Amino acid sequence: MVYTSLAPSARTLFHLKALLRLFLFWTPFLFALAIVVVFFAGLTMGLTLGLILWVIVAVVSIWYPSFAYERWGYLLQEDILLITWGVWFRHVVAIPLHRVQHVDTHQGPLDQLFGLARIQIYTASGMGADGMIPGLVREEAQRIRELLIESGGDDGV
Amino acid sequence: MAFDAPDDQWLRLHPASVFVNLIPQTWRVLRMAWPLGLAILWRGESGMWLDTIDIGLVLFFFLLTVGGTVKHWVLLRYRFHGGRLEIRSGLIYRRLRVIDPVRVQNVELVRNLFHKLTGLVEVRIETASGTEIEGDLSALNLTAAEALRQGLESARRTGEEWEDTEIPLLENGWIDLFRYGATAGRFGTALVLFGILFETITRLEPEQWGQFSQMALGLKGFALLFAVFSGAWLWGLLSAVVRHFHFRLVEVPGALVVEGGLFTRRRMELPLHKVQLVSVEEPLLRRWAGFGSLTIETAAARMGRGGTERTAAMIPVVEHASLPEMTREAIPNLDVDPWTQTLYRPHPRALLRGILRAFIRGSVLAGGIHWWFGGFAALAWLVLPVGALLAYLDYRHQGWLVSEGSVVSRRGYVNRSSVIVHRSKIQSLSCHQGPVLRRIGLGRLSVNVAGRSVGLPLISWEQAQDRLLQLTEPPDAALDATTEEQLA
Repeated sequence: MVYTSLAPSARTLFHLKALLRLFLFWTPFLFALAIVVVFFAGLTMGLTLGLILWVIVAVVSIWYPSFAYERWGYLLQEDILLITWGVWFRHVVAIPLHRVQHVDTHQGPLDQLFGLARIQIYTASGMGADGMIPGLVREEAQRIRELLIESGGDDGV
Repeated sequence: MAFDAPDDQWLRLHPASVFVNLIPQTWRVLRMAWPLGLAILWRGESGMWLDTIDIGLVLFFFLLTVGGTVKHWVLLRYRFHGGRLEIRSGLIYRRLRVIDPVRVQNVELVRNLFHKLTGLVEVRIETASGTEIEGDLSALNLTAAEALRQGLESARRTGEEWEDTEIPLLENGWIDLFRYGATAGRFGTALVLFGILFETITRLEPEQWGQFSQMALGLKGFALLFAVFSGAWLWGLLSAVVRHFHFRLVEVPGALVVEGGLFTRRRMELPLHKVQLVSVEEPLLRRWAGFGSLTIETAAARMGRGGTERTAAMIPVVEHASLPEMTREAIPNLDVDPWTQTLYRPHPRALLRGILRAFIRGSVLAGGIHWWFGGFAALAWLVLPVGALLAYLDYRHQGWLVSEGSVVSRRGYVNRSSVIVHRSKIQSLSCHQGPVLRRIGLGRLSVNVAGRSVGLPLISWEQAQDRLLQLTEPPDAALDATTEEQLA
């Protein structure tokens, strides 16, 4: 079974998001943590621990997005949508098309910058979105959305 | 009886609803204002001026409650219009809710003590959407409630010939309910009782605390322990009888009706085509006593303690021999019998994972206890062999089955639970594999129906993906022949 990959620019988007997370969330968080450790265990301990953790997070932030991109895939067949993703935790989701209740399309500022979109597919299972595909070219997202919405049928509830 | 109110005529709750709703409404207000109540309670000694403020606050909340119930009675209206139920409420923020009878998952008639005193009944109508009761008519007289129920039924069955006849299927008497209550696990209640006891002890004076600790370490300590567990057990026994008193299950055309309860009597009607799954709880004690408890779930959901809880009809006692028959009553086109058919085992490597988990959990627990108490607390390490044994038994008694029409998943040894889903109710499917499962090549297949995800025991990752694809086929499609590997 050959899954369709995400748009190539999604790889860059994943990297950019990871870097933003690193500098806007992880760096201030680890800095605050280091200050707390300095207060309790001294300057050397605080700085060393903070730096080690920052390097680990930075390496993961650079390494992870490419793997995550490679793992994402979807396969839209006649009566079923398959989605697969996950680096550490792997997932495969199958959604029968006739069960689709609604489809959401999201475009954040970064998605717009790259001309990408993310779709979320909901069934009547009522536990949030059953499936999600990020990093789709806008036209492809629209095409999938239309196909999913048009495939009506018994909702099983 | 048919719904005899003319179409378009708005009907209202019974005037006594103001009285009936006062207690639950007060409870709701108290829950909202609990920090204030706590502050008043714990403030201790106070002067006359502050007491006046207290009385004023209590009066304010009482008036707020009374006002709320009066407003509820004055503003809430309902009617049948164009074959749909409409419920109108609110003054400044008006709300009109329209419920299509076809979408109704279940109708529940509830009578608590106040309803019984006033000859009224609460009607709860639930659809598959949201996490609250979609149509809650808190106090109707019996005739109006029955007319509404019949109205919903006839609107749902437009064009069908039907008679409101009842066929009794099962009854649970006193002895059955005692069996159910006596076999209910009450460790949670015992823990709460211990918590209350501990909280009381912390308020003792130091000399009293010394006396108590001497008593607790002696024979009296064991007596206390016994008393707490006996109390919890008796509580379980009584609550089972009160909650399910004179329980009965009847079949009406196209639906099942469950009824029971002493102080609050509930009657819930579940259309058969809305049933999403049946789960059967057979803990060890109940298996020894020869029965299980059967739960029928629809897609309706409501907020309960600890988050969303499913709306389900629970049959406390079903004799072991009757379990297949009762399951078939809830899922008429069921093509499996999990009690006589051999279920497929989980993958052998699932045992390895189970034992590993038991060791990690046991080590953390035993290590903590040993470190904290020292000395004879080293006995806590006995949890490791016990945990490993339970992991083995759990593995041996797990099972799963995918037939042409159904999916069965059975988990647990001490608390065995079997879930049966008809394939026509599957919404989506998923396979998951974490880092540990990847090391041993296993995965978990989950079947999602409306409102609930049912996980199958661990199988190989490839097999999980194959089954995922097979289960997306229509229920009547023939499955491939089962391989020897799956039966192993």
